[in-house]
Amino acid sequence: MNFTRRRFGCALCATAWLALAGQAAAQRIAPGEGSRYLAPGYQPSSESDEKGLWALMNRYERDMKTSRFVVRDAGVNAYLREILCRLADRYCADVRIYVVRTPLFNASMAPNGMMEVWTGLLLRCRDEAQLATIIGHEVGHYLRQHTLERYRDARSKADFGTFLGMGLAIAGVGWAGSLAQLALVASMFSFSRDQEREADEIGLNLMADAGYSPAATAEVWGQLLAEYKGSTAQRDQSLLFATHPLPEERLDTLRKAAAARGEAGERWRDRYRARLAVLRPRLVADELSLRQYGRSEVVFEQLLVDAPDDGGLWFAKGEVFRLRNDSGDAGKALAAYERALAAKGAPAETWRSIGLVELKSGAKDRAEIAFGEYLKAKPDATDRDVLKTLIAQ
Amino acid sequence: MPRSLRRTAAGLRVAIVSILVVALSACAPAIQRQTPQLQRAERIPRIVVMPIDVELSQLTAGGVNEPHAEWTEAAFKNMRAALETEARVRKVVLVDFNPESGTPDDRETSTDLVKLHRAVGGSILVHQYNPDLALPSKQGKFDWSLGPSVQAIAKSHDADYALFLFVRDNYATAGRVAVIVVGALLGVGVPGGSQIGFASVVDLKTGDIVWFNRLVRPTGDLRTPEAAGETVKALVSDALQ
Amino acid sequence: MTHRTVRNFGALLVAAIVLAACAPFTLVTPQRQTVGGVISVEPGMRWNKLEISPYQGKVEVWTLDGLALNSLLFFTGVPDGEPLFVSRSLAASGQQEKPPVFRANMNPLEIQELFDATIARNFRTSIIESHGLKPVEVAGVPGFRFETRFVGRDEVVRSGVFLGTVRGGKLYGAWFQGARLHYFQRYVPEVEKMAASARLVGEAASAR
Repeated sequence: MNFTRRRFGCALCATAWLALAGQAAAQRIAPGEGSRYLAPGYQPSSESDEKGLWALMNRYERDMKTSRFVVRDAGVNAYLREILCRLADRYCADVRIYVVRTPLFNASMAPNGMMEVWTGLLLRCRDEAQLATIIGHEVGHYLRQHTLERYRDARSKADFGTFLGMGLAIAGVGWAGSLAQLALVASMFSFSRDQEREADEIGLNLMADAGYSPAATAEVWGQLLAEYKGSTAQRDQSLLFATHPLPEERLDTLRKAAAARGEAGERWRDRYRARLAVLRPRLVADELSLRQYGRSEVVFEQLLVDAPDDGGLWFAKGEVFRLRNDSGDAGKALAAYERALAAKGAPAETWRSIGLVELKSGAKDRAEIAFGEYLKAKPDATDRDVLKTLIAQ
Repeated sequence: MPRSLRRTAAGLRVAIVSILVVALSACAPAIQRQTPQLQRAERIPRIVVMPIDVELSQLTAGGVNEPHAEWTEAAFKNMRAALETEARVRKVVLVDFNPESGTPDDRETSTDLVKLHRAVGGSILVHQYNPDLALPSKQGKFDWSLGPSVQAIAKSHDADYALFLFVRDNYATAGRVAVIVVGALLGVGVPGGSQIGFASVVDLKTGDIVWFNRLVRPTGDLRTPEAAGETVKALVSDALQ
Repeated sequence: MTHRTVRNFGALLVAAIVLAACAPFTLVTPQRQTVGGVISVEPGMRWNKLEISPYQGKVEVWTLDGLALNSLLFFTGVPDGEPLFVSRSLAASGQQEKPPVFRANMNPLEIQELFDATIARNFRTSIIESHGLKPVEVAGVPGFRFETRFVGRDEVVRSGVFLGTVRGGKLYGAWFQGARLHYFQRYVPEVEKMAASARLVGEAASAR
């Protein structure tokens, strides 16, 4: 048992080292070098500061278990667990993944093995390999006990000013609770660049060893950067960027390391879309509720590149234009809805949105037809009467 | 994030804490109650101890609260033990809240009630203990409640009352103390640490909060068993009459 | 990592304390009165009015048990191009893109959508579902009504009812919300009675 554990740990450190050195293909190294990694089934020893930290995290996790923001769909949770276990089979039992309903790109790992993946991330990943990148990265933080490192590091300092850094940027965004809580958590848990690089390496090797295509690792960050360029906000705040700073240099290192791993691998795009299909309408609606039109447009466009025949995504794009309602948007919205109807799986609401846009431009007859189609497609619609009233006015 | 904004946020935090300290030291009685004492007519009161919501943190030089894991765990254990002692003395039966008990509906209601209580407790602290923030419509009456859905907890735990304890406490680091001292020299008041806390007893027939006590410093230092014991006693013994 | 905390208690206190310039709450007596110069109502019980509103915009805020437990927001003529309201703490934090705004040519369905987006943004939650939209008379004129339900970051489920009408290109109405357990249901009769008593006055009355 001990031998296998060390061997697993070794395999990781071997490949990480080799990746850094730019060599392809992992070599198994003799046991004895894996002790840097957390052992499977690890629990902190009695009365250490680490034990106190775990206890605190365990209490947060108790709250998490009853939170209304956690997605409980069995299929979705099973899928993420499958990916986790494929990546880090020996640590499967030590890590619990919680899918949290927040429409931003973020994932995090607490020292006690509690992982959070936000639904905004599930929307933005384009295939299973990209999601595996993130999960593997977070597992890396866990294996190397980065949070404990940061916790001890932070406590040894008299002044936390330097640690706040991006932390209060998170506090400004406010998606995760009160000002004080955010600042303190961020100050505890924002990782150093070395730690990020380490987690990147481990994540890359975990996912490549599990048969995923290494090229996915840098992609997902690149997509995110493109999205923020599409934002019209003066100062954009990404929770993920705040806790995981992404200088050019890190992206570069990632790309090189991925190229060094070289071998092709799987993307599992169809499986990714299929397993999360049940969530997709919710993910889209939550994204739209942010009313961040520039960014949402980029996100949906990226997804449409992979799935040009996805009626739900064309509908989503149309909604961005309809809700933004700048000059010219009505036409763009209608065009997108038309593409949606021509594609597969457009929701019944597509017709309703067409009706709303037509109504706004005064085309009552066309609106009435569209609403009629909507009600045909969705006979149990609860807004039947409302739509009739809109036409009647 | 620009430095200036970071400092403003930290400064705001300091300001808030200082206002809070001043606000909470207003002269409202610490203990508020609706009924004089627990009903003992039918049986020895069974009291559900809701998950003790305590978090101790370290107030850093920059004015940021960092939760202190060991202190929190110690406080948690100390307070629970102190409660047991008080219960024995006061002749009440304590039952730990079990989130798994009852029907699925009961469980969901119970969870929601715990969250509601945080909001109600906070509102009481804000509105009942500071004349400036009082709600004039209440005219000084103490009539807060969780509502009759508490009967779900009464049923699933066969209990008469529920006891809630909530504490947020921070202790100044050496760096912080330095800031305070320097501040004092410059004639600037900088708050040291602050403590927010309350204990409440809820009647599980009606949901009414029949007893509420605000925690007042300096009695509470929850990092040691003795002090935690004293704090719990001060908070709670009057409730368990 | 950002621990998505359930302890919004701190934020509540912050909000409350920030309001404490002096006596931010004034008594509303149970008699007919005008809100914002445009909505005349007759409350049946004592309410508390927030003199320093936590929200920017054409809103007036009343409460019975404190903002964490229930609130009544009067919309006193939201003009074209303005958001329904923006919470001051959010405005101070330097949010991202511009908030969604009311447009005079919005129909009730779109106003309901706007409402959901406003709640999502100001209370930082994606769990917001408005439903049951139907045309009703509001303050004596044709209007609309829908029920609301959202979960804030403190994990408290909040029920609500929204009544509105658009006159002269501006939105008038009110939204009462409270914790689903006890603090909403308890006051529904009072809110319904007040709604029945409501009339548009001033510039709202003369508008079409």
